[in-house]
Amino acid sequence: MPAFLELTGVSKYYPSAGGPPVRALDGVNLSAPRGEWIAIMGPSGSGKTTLLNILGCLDQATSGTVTIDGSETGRLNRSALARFRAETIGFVFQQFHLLPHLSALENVMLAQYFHSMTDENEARRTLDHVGLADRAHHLPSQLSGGEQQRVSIARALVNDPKIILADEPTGNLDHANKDIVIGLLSGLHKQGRTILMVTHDPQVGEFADRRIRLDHGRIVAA
Amino acid sequence: MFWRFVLSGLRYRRRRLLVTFSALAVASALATVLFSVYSDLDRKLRGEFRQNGANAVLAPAGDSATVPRGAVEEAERAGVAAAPFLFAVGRLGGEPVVVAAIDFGRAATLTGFWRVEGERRAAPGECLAGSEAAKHFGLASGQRVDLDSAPCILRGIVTTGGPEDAQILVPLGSAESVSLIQIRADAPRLPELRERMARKFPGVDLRLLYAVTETEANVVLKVGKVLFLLSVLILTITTLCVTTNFSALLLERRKEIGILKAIGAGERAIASLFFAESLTLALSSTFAGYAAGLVAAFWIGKRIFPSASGVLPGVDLLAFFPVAATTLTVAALATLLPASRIWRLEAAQVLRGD
Amino acid sequence: MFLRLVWESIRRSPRRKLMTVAAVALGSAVATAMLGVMLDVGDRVNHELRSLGANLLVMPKAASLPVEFGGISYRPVSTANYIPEDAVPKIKSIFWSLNIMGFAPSLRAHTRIGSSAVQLTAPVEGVWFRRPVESPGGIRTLAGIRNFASTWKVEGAWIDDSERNDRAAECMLGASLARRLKVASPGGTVDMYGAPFLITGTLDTGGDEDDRAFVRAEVLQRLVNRPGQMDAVQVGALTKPEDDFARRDIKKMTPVEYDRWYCTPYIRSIAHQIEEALPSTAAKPVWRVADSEGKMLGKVSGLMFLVAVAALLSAGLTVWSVMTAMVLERRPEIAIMQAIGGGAWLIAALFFFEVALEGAVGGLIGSLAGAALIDWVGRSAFDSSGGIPPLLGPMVVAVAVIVAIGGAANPIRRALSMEPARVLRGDA
Ligand SMILES: Nc1ncnc2c1ncn2[C@@H]1O[C@H](COP(=O)(O)OP(=O)(O)O)[C@@H](O)[C@H]1O
Ligand SMILES: [Mg+2]
Repeated sequence: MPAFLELTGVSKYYPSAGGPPVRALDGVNLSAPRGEWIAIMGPSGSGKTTLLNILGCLDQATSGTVTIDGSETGRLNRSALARFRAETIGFVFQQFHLLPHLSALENVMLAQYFHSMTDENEARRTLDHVGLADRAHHLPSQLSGGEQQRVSIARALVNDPKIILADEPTGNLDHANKDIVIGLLSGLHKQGRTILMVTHDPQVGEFADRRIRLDHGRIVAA
Repeated sequence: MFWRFVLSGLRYRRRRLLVTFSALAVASALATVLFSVYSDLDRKLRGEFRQNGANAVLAPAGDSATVPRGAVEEAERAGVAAAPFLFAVGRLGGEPVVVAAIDFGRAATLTGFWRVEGERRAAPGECLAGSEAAKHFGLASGQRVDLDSAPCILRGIVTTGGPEDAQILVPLGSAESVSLIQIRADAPRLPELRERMARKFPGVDLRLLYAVTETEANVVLKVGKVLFLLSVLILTITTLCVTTNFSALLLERRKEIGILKAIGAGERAIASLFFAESLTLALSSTFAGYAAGLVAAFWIGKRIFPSASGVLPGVDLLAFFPVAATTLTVAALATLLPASRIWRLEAAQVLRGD
Repeated sequence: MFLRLVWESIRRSPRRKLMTVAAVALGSAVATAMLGVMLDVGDRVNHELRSLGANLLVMPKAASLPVEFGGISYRPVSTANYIPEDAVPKIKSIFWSLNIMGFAPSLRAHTRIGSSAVQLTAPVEGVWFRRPVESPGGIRTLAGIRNFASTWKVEGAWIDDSERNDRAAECMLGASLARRLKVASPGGTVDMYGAPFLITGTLDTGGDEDDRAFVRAEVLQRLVNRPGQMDAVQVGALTKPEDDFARRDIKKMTPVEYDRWYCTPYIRSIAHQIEEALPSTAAKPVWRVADSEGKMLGKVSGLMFLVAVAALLSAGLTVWSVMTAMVLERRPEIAIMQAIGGGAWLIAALFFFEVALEGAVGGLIGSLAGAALIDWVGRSAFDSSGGIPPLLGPMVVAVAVIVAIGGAANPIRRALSMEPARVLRGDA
């Protein structure tokens, strides 16, 4: 019986022109029980984003297996992957990646829509939860970075995912906003969600249950 | 560094540029084809109309009843097709019938509309019969026709819906004068021909078959007009398409422009970079389109204007210059016009990205 | 939510949408105009070609073999067979009556014509110049040789024969005959059948007409004592150029083929229908005219086909390139949707719906603009606006939608099959 989240020998190679392939991930083994908050740290280019993308099924591993909640993601077909992303995963990006032509509320509702059906009240409550009830109808371009990041957290939350994947969620934020975001993630953690968070910031890393360190695509310290 | 920037920029975005490249290439191919077809259209059409039979007749004028046969050579020297006809009444089985003596060799180009069963021409000792005459006298191909003047072997039966249907057609011998000469001349040649014939053969009258000359002129004029209008239309649309393509290409790169500005590039420097990029793209696709257009024009020329002469009928090699000039101008303008809008954008705003 | 997504996308970036719609509109305007003009130009050129003259000649079936040339007949014309003048308007009630652009009956005779200076024998024709007639089907039309005279050079005036008058002593002379008679025309007189005729005008055609005299049909009928009789009818018909099918022997056709042949305006099928309408006549195609027509129409259609292909190509190109650019530009959006769990089909449906909407709006605007263009081309080249096929509009809208979707399909498919991670990283 594998753990809730289990990676065995996961590698990701990118072909590079002329030279040997870039080993973004090189035989990563990782397992985590349900509800754990893991901080992934390491220098830039060490493969953190790649790891998160593979966990979130945005990218395919070159070799190795990824099992999340009993399903091996490498075996899922395209539509099953989309379902999986909609139901199990919530993404928070460093660059927020909100749709520019949709309001904050609509960006959240979009995730509901892909999951099952939209529920405007619930979307509003989620925005309220991240403290943006009064910004529901603003476009991303009318929001500050911190606010945009909170919208993207609300979007990640709204479908009640089992896993939150956050790629440097505080990387672009000031202190005040950083605290808000950390507060939100801690709340989620208390609700029993599994969180994988990439961060450069040791202080932020302290909030996690466990810290792993990547270097050149390998886990060098747990 | 300048060209490195330009070329790597092109290479990096080749997927996206492929769209613009093919748009421009198709545009220049279209321009080349339309240009080739339209240039000299009236001459080419008139060339095709030569197959339509006579458009003028040399007939006796005043009191004379015949036309001297020398007029045929004279007309040919003027560069037109001419065929003499000599009519007489012969007798066949005791009945009168019109016997038309024809120079079959010369008449061939003017009698393309004849519907013939059997041979189209008769050698000495042979003859053809109009369909009505054949029916009337009960004649069939291969049979001997006992014309009183000179019996002949029937080689074919001709249906035209005109007077030939009631005639027996025999080869023209060495007669010095004939009843009339049918002429096919390019329309602009006719006035000159009339003057020339009037000088040399005062007893001869050049009659224009207005129904033919004017209808042809009319068709040439109107088809030319339609083709011109449509070509202009197509090229306008294509130009617009290319323009929006190039503009979009630039507008997509606001961020890049912001970065360039941020690292201290002057507006002039940025403009020349993008300008060079556009022109490189435009020039290469124009060449590709021009080459494709020439092939298409050649093929079309052979199909639509089979009678056109020359090494490359229907192809206008000179089309390259206007086509290239247009595409380059369009590409340059399409780059510079939106650029001015981008200068006004604050780099910071662009970089913030939304 | 689906509609809301589409709507927000359109509302929030109107400029980009406008560009797409404009591209589709331009493309479909050209396509509409082209198809319209292509369908129309052949028809119009066909009309213009009618000035070549009559392309059918109707004669009594058992007419005797004419023995004449140069305007002189070498055997008395047999008058045993004739076409009744009353029956002539029936030509306008055949199946393809709308394609009968003109017809002109004539009665032929030879007589001595004399002026003060010269006496000679010449053919004289009794004709309708331009006479209002009504066919058995109730179609009113003007018939007579003026139907065929658009290229003739006339000096003086046409005889006005809209009312019958068998005593009118007027005639028109062919230009060459007038020269030989050395008469002053118009205004001079010639003697025919022992009576003076006023010359109202001369006509110059370059053809046989130049050696003839023309009088009203009823006048010649009285003079040669053949009341109500005609010898020939010239008919000008709009025809479809002959193809291989048209040349087949109708006796060997199956009933279905025969119906198809009968219902196509080939020159022979029109001739066949005229023979049915006027019993005991033979209608013969005048191949000199019919052949030229066919050849010229063939050239024109060839050219128009070429231009139509060019236009469709440029229209398709416009739509395709804009659609491709649009999708390429929106690839990050697609990747984000994928990242938050959007299924490929749903995302594709969203985009296709948007694109189809743009296609429909663009197509609608385009077909209206295209109709205006057809009109413009018609006016500029043919001095009259042409008919626009009624189904063209809806057809163009449908085609615009299909082309827009077609143009977007491949890039959308490609965008969807890319790893979202790569797009979000910002490469490719
Ligand atoms: N699409 C790609 N093509 C080539 N190399 C890539 C690609 N994505 C990532 N890499 C390489 O993989 C390595 C890990 O990248 P990434 O996971 O983004 O690092 P991190 O997020 O830890 O900064 C880097 O060396 C990067 O250059
Ligand atoms: Mg990273």
